[in-house]
Amino acid sequence: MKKPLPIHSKDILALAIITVFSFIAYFYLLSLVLEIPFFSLLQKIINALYAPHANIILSKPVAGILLPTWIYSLLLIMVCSLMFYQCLANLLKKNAPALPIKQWLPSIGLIALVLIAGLQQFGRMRHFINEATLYVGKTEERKDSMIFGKAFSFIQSSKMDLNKPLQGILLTDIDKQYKEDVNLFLMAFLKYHYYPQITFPLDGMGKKNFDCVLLYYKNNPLESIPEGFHIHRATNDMKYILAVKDSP
Amino acid sequence: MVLWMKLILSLLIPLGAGYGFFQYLCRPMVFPFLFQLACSFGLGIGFVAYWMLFLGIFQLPYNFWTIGAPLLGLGILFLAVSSRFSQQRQPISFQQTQADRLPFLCYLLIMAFIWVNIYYVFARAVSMPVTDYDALATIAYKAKVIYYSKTLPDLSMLPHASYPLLIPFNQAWIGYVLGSWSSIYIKIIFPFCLFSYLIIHYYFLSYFTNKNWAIFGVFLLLSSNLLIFHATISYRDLFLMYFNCSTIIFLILWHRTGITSLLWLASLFAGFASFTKLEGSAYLLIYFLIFYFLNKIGSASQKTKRTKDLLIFIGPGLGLCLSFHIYKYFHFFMKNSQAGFEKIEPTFALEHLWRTPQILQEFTKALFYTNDWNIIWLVLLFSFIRIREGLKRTEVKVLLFTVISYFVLYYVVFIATSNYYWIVGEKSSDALSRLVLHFFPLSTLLIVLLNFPATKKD
Repeated sequence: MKKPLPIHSKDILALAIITVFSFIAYFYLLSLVLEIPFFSLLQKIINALYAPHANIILSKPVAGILLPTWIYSLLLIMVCSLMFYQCLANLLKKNAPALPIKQWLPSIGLIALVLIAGLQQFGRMRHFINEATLYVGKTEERKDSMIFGKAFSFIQSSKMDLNKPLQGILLTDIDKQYKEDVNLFLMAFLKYHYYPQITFPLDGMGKKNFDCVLLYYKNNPLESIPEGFHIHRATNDMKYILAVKDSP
Repeated sequence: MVLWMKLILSLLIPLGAGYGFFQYLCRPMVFPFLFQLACSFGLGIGFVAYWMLFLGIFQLPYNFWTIGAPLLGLGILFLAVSSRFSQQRQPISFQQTQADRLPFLCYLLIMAFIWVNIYYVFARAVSMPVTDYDALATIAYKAKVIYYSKTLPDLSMLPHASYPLLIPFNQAWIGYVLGSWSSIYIKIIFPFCLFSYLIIHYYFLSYFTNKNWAIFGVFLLLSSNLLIFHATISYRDLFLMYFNCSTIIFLILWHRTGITSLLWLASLFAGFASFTKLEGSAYLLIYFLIFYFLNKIGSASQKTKRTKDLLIFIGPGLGLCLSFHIYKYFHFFMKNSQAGFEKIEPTFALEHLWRTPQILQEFTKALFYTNDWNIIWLVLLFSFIRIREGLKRTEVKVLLFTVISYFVLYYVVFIATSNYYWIVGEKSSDALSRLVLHFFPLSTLLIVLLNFPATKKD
């Protein structure tokens, strides 16, 4: 077995202490400048570090500025200070730092990364505990109904009495009421949960022969129900209506 | 209780098939047990998907027995054949360099961080139903359609018909074992995928550094929020990351050890990557470039050996990739449909070079101004200060080349295709981070390799 060259563990420890101290001092000063209590600021940072989403985990602003900007500023100050100190020490030829820049520069980055990972962990744990408190011990249906609310309950109740698998179409004016994203998600959600009792064909396919119509967030929904169809189930506010073709 | 046993069975059958095949493939060698399991998981997942594709092409029915029994038989058969070689096997050590003992508190904190996060992904994955857009709209929806169709449905009736089916097939398989559809338990494969990759990541690093740095490499990996979150939701990007990064790792290990089995594994995983997401097919180009480079500088002097290695790598990988694309082509050709080719819209034009600033801006945002990766990419930039020493090592050269290749590949894709609008342009849905996730672990490998103190021998 090869034995690696020893790393300057005392210097790395000193660097770790400097980095931790700098982080605390920096955010403490920031809390004074922003007139926010230190622990409230810490809380804001933890919140800003973990807001999970499938596409991107966005960085939230802290005091109006994105958190990475605060962190990069601190690291920039630290790196500049250490470089200045090293240059000065080399010029004066005394107390020159034992660690070369090749070692301390990545080390500072790694120590900062560990610190941020620790803070992130609080965010992750809190997120998990919040979810666990809400959903532990619940059935799958109950969880879905808690997450998606009225829409899921409507799907469950409306597909219960259907005797055979149906082909359906979706009719909505939700784009006029909300952003486009809402409809994309809602459409996917409805198609997923109605399947296999009701299959909604892909856009532009099979819109001629259908056995049912699902109207959601439709302006004047009752007027949009095609002739020869009756309301099978509807919510009180008429936001969701499932209309099924009359039996011959 | 019965549910959990069924769930375990849905994992054990593919794992058993993968394990049997792994034993057969690597019969001259004995790899560490956890490494064997981590690779077997990927093999098993791939076998389930390709077996279901094979059954589907011939419109044979899907059920527990038609899928599970042949896989189990395959595993047992390979295990029986490979057991004949058990006397001649040589163990492989992944511990090349001795490590000093870490301070107890430091070790305890790092291990606690790793295990807490592993617990988090397992607990969340099997407690939360499918709630995210792509899962509802495509991945889990397709799986549900396959599950209830009990055979491969007409592809043109599925959303995003061109997309590969590795994940939906595996989720439908879990449904067949459970005997009912569950929006929660179909996600069980995702935490196992992360765990398997962590093991491969760990052993790769322990081969080139030591135990402490390998553990630290795992810590770096788990410091990514996006990676952790993706291990709990039903998206395909985590699996592509697993197959993609494992392929690179196996290629480097093959180059270093000369063990041909690793080349087979790399080739199979490259094929599975192409069946996970469409991007996987494009990544084949990068794998072939790496292979070409490694084969050229490799120790094998005989031309026949090099040619044989070339065939081993290209054959299974390209074969697996083409099998789905060819099936898709004939399927849609017969139906006179364009649904299977929705993503292929190359539009080469010089004026598209004006997209460059926007692309660079979006990459900068995705790498440095999100909470997806902690500050990994900044630390990688800091670590480049040691690049001159690092470039003396082949593994660093390969990893650096690979990471750059992914950025170049995506740059070309955004310049030349309409994907620009959906990923970094006006209609962007912030999906760029998901693409970075496919190769993100390579950055942590580079950080560890660049910062690992060089040995006298190196």
